[in-house]
Amino acid sequence: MKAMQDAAVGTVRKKISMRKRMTRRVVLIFLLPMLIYYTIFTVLPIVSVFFLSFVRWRGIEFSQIQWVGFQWYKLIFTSNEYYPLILNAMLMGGIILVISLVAGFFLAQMLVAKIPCSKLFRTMWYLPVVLSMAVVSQLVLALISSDGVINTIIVNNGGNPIAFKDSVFWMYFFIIVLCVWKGLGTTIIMFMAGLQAIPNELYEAAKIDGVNAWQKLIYITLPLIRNMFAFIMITSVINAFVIFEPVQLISGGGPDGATKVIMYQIYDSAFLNFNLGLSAALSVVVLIICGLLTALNMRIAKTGD
Amino acid sequence: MIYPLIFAVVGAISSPAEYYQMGGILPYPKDFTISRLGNFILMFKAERTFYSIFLTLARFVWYSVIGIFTSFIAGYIFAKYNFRFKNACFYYLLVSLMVPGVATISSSFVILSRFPLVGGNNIFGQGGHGFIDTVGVLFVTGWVSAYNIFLVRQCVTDLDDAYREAAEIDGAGFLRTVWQVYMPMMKPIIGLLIISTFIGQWNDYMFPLMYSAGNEFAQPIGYYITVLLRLYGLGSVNQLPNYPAIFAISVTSLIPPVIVYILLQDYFVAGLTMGGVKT
Repeated sequence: MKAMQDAAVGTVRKKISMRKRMTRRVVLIFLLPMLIYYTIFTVLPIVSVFFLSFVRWRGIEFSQIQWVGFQWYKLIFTSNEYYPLILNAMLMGGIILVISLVAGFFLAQMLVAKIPCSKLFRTMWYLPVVLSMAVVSQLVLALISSDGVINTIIVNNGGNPIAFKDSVFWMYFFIIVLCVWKGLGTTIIMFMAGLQAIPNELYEAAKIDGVNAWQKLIYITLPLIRNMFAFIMITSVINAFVIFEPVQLISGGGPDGATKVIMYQIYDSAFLNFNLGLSAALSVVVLIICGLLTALNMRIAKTGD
Repeated sequence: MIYPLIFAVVGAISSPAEYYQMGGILPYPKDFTISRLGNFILMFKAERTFYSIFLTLARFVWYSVIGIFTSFIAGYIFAKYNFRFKNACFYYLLVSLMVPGVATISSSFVILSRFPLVGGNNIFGQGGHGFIDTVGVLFVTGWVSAYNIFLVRQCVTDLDDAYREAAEIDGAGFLRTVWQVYMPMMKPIIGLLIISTFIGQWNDYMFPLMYSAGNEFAQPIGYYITVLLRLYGLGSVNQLPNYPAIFAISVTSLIPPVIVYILLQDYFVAGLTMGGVKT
């Protein structure tokens, strides 16, 4: 009897140790190479961007690397050439964010209510999301060039052509409209998911109590989709902050750098002027801002549960 | 909402003369003949279009296979295995979610161009151009996506452990358990990964712009289209742009993602809300 028990315990132990060995093997064979790859192609760029921000280098010979300390950061925050880029990005991103949050929320409300063809509308609103940002940016360029679509219509109706590309207002206007048009679908779908998760009984109870539409919005809908709101807000604020293609393809940062956003300058410094240090220092600023926003997002998601 | 797209389609079948005479909000293709529809295949008449599409499809297949492989393996390991440093590894992957990839373009450039023993580089990464402007650069980055690993992990966690135990008692190894037991239960997520890879690859513009545009044989379609549009005079000062051609090419290039989206839109919606609700 005792011997049998011992044997049984022995096999169980053997099984456990076998399982442990298998786990170790699986982790070593499969997970470890992935982590090494991830370290080289994802973590190393993040770490080295900090290093690069302290040096002057054109990216060719290692022997030419020159340590310059905080020089690039000083330049960014004191010369009035660079910190406006952060403000530009924040202004542009902020406007896009507010418009898409408000419009997205009300459109989602409309689509959740059973209006006819709501699936068709949803498809239509989401369609721009899957299109190439580069191609639609170039379509916008075709609209607003000096002999573009809008000016052709104006001239053929006897008006004077507008130099859209020389006007700060119009450049902001078209970039913002494009980004809202392109991103609204995502916001709507997310809001719809949030709205559909609200139990219908709440609205029915409210109806019995004679609550009007405004009160319903303030006291039921908004508090219950607060998390979704925060999530959408922070993901879209990051997306809005790193706008690149429309600026590169439509305005090229012009007129006179008024629509230059920080991402465009990062690209410009690194790939057109080969000033890797400045580019990296600007990237670090973006990294820190986005890191703070993401941390905030996770905080909100956690407290919501 | 879709007015710009309608405009682009109508504009594409007008002649340049009609386009320059339009007075209303849409050009009126008065002399429309069926041959005008030929504008829509203008894109394929360019020199390297088929090559670019081939390159894009190659990237799509490559990244689908690698992406599914890595996210399922890692997602499954994080969901079902326990080992030392598991949480540390997990948080290590989390880092990349907090950092927008576009913010590391300069350092990625350095790493790709100074990569040892590639593109004429010696062992210290000096002397050549590394991966920059090679076809290879289009295939070496982005094999491991933390976001997809989390997505898969979330789904595997929801599935019962009993499947794994049953499979292991029957003598299935690790790969067989993942491949033949868990993957068939997660078809929606596979669909989502494949679709988003396709759309992402077809539309990819920034990556080729920064790392491979200098080589005309390393331009996937998302970048090559912008080259074509410039060829037809878009944004040029000394050439009258051929707007119908520009619209036609744009519309043609937008069709594949639109078809994929319209046929498979439920996957998209599911994917979006999956990431949204469960963070």
